Amino acid sequence: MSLNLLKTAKQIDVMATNISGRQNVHLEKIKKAINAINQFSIENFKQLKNEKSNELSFVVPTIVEHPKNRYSTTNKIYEYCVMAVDGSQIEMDRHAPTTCFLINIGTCTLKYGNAAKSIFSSTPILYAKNDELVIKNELNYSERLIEGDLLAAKRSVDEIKFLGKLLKKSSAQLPRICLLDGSLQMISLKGYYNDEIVLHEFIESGMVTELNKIKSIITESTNTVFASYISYPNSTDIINALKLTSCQSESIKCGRFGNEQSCSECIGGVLDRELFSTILSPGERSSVFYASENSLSEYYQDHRIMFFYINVNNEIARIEIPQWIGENSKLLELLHSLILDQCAKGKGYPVSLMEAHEQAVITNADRKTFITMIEKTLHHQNIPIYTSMKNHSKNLRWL
Amino acid sequence: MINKNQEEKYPKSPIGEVIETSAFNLTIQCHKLYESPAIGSLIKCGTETIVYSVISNIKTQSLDTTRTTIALAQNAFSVEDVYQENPQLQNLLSTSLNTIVVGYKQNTHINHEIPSIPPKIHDLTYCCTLEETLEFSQTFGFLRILRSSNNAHIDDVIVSFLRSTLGNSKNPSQLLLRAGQELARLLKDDTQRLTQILERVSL
Repeated sequence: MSLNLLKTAKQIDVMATNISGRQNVHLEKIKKAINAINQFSIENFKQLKNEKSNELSFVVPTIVEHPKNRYSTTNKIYEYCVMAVDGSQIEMDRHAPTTCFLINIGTCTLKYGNAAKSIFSSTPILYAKNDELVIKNELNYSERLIEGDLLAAKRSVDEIKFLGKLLKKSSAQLPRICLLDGSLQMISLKGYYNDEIVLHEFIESGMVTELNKIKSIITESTNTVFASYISYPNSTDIINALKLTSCQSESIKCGRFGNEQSCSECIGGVLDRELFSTILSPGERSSVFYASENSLSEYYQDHRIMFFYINVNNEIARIEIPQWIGENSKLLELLHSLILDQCAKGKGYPVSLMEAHEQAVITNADRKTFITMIEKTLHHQNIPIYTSMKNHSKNLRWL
Repeated sequence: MINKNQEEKYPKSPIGEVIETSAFNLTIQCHKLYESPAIGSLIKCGTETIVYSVISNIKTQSLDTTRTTIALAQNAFSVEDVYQENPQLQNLLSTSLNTIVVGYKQNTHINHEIPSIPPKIHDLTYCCTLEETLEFSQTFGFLRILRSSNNAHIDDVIVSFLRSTLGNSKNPSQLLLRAGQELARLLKDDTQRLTQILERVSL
């Protein structure tokens, strides 16, 4: 028996009724958030942040420009090159005949203007050697399998490596934009804040090494930018900052899904994109903010992550950039213009990222074929194939 | 990789390669978007045996059948603008040709028959030169194969082939006479169809 859709439908009905009941309350909260940003003072925020930093159950960004500032661009660039990278993975499966995982990296380079051209690539990387499958701690001989959050981090590192290679091969004659999908902050590693080996492997040796390479190329040219693009972001950095300045309660403990200690000015549950959709007109971007300091920040060295929101006509997107882009007004202007153009060409989402995704995507059929290929290859080489009885029973589905 | 033998046989660069093969019909994917010979053109592929076929249809569509093409020219002044603004289309769209196999060449001898072995998938495909087309058209026995194909628009394909061959030949009336004789034999029971074809070729 597969999913009982009749029983599920009834539960979906109840869920929809609950959402409808909460909608008015949520709209009220958005109004309060607008009120809070109108009254926001950077000085007051800095003071409260210093005073309460140890008590807060959430992190707040560093704000140097008023969050209500908005910027537009009239700079339309017709000739440029965009390089985008995306990845997908096949996780380790303990029921599979062998232990391995695969990362597939899709790249897309589009050149606009005279001699417009496109180059796509799809590169699968199979990790199957013992030392590729784990992060080893030489001190206590412990091992962590690269799966789940660690595999997500590994994929992020592979993605930025490929982006660095594309950038290195490209010509600096035209303005260039390098794009990644998702956050530059390796949030999947937050749960490993006390595992120095993991953080060193993925952030310092991985992400930061690649960011250094990209930075060295970008600083040599005056017309190259690099960013990661987050569509429909769920982040609440600015809302957190507003909570700090507007909350009437002694201890600010209103969250997205629970508000037991909410005050009359509670804005818990509102997302940054909901707030900025009321502030930014189509084509405009917000001020640039420094991402909230967290346990991973120190590993990023001089690549502190900054971000801004941008109205790309169809939605509010979040753009994350290293500080050497975010603190350079010319590069920001170029980035703003090129992001808007990419989104216009992609009907609301950067066309280059869409095509990189298409190159990277691994379908369910591909996943099944991958396992079959492993089984056949092992069989041809007379290597015994073992799988779990659970897997066996799933495949057999006997009566 | 093209070997020396192939280079001698095919001095020009290929237009594409075979992606579907059978004894009677081939599908050729063009290497460059929209760069295909016209309907009715004679093309060739194969190494040991050169297989000749006539283009019966040209299609351009999304390479990925799960992705549909949508209108992109709302703000463009020309179709060239659309392709310049969307360079990814060059990689996402593909032009392919359906062809009807009409003969083969083995040891310099041309046969207007179906080859006993069809070409291979990925066989490079070349457009025949005028000289090759005239050599192939010394007799018009291949019109029998074209006529018997189950293509609903085969008369248009025959007309296109004859128009372009006659138009480029030094002695078109002689060629038309021979082609007309062959068509008269094939369509002796359908004079209306025969007349229509010959009238259209003579235009």
